Amino acid sequence: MENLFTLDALLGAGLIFLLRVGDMSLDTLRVLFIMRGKKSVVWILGFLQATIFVIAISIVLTSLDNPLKIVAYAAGFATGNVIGMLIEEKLAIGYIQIRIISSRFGSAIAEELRDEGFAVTEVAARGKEGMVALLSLSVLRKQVNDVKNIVNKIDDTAFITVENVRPVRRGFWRA
Amino acid sequence: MISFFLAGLFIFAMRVLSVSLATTRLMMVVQGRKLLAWITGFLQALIFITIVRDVLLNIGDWTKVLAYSGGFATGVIVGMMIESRIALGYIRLHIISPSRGKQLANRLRENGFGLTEIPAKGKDGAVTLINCNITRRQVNQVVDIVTDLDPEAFITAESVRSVQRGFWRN
Repeated sequence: MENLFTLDALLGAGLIFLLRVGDMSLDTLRVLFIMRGKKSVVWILGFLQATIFVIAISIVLTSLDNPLKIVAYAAGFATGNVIGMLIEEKLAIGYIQIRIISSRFGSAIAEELRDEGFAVTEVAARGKEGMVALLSLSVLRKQVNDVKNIVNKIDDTAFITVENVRPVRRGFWRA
Repeated sequence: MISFFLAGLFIFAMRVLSVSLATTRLMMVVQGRKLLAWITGFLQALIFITIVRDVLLNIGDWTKVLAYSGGFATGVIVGMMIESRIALGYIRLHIISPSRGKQLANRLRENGFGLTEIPAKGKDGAVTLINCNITRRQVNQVVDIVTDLDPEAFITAESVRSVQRGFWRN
C-alpha cells in the first residue's frame, strides 16, 4: 500500500478516469439519442463508445493493482454519465410540447407568442375558479426558454408543463 | 460442492445488484437527474470493477455463466421495480368521461387535486376532457377515485417534465 500515490499509479488512474469519462459520455448520449429515434447518430456513437471501452477495459482488467485505479474507474464512469447528459442538454435536439394554463391572460399570451412567430392553439377550459385558457404549442427544444420568458412577462402566475414529443408531421413551426 | 454452489449464488447476487443499479441509473439519465445518475453510476461501476471483474477472469464452467446471465436479467427487473417504487417525477392524466365529467372534477378537487376541464366532442356527443397534473406516486389514487365514480371513464397517462407553478397536491 506504500506505493499508492506514485507517479505511475497516478498516471494510470488518470488515464483510466479519462477513458471512462470519454466512453460513458458517448454511451449516455447514445441512450438519449435512442429515445429520440436518431439511428445514424446512434450507430456512430455506439461504434466510438465500444472502441474506447475495449481499450479502457483491457487496461483496467489487466493492471488493476491499485485501489486508486478502482476509484478512478468508478468516478470516471459516473462523471462521464453526467457529462453526457450535459452535452445532450446543450445540443437540445428534438421537439417539446408546451402547455400553458392561464386564468386571465390567455389571449394576451397567445397574441404575444404569435407575434413572436410561434404557433399556438387556444382551448377554452374550466378550472376550479371559473374559465381558464389552455394554450398548447409545439416548439424546438432550444426555444423552450424563450417561450417561458414571454409567458412570464405577461402572466407570472401561468402554469406551464413541458413534455417531449416525437417526430412531427405538418403544423406551423417557427424557423 | 457447497462452495461451488455458493460461488454461483454470489455471482448471481452481485450481478443483480450491479445491473439493478445500472437500470436505475438509466432511468435517472432519461429523467435528467444528474446527482442521482452520478451516485448510482459510481456504485455500479465500483461493484463491476471489484467483483464482476473477478468473475469474468475466472468464469470457468457453465453454472457460473448461467448465474451471470440470470443475475443480469433479474437485475434489470429489480432495477425497474426499484425505480417505480422511488417514482420521481410528474404525470399528466387525460380523463375522458361522457356523462360524469363535472362530478369527477368536483370529486378530484375535493381530494385536493388540481385539474382543468375541457368541453370536447366524442363519437356520441359531448364529453368532458379532464387535464390533471399529479406526481407519479398519486397515479393509482386518482385512478381509483375516477373508476369508483365512473367506471367507463377513459384514462391515459404521460410523463411531463420541468414544471412551473400550478396546483399540486402534496
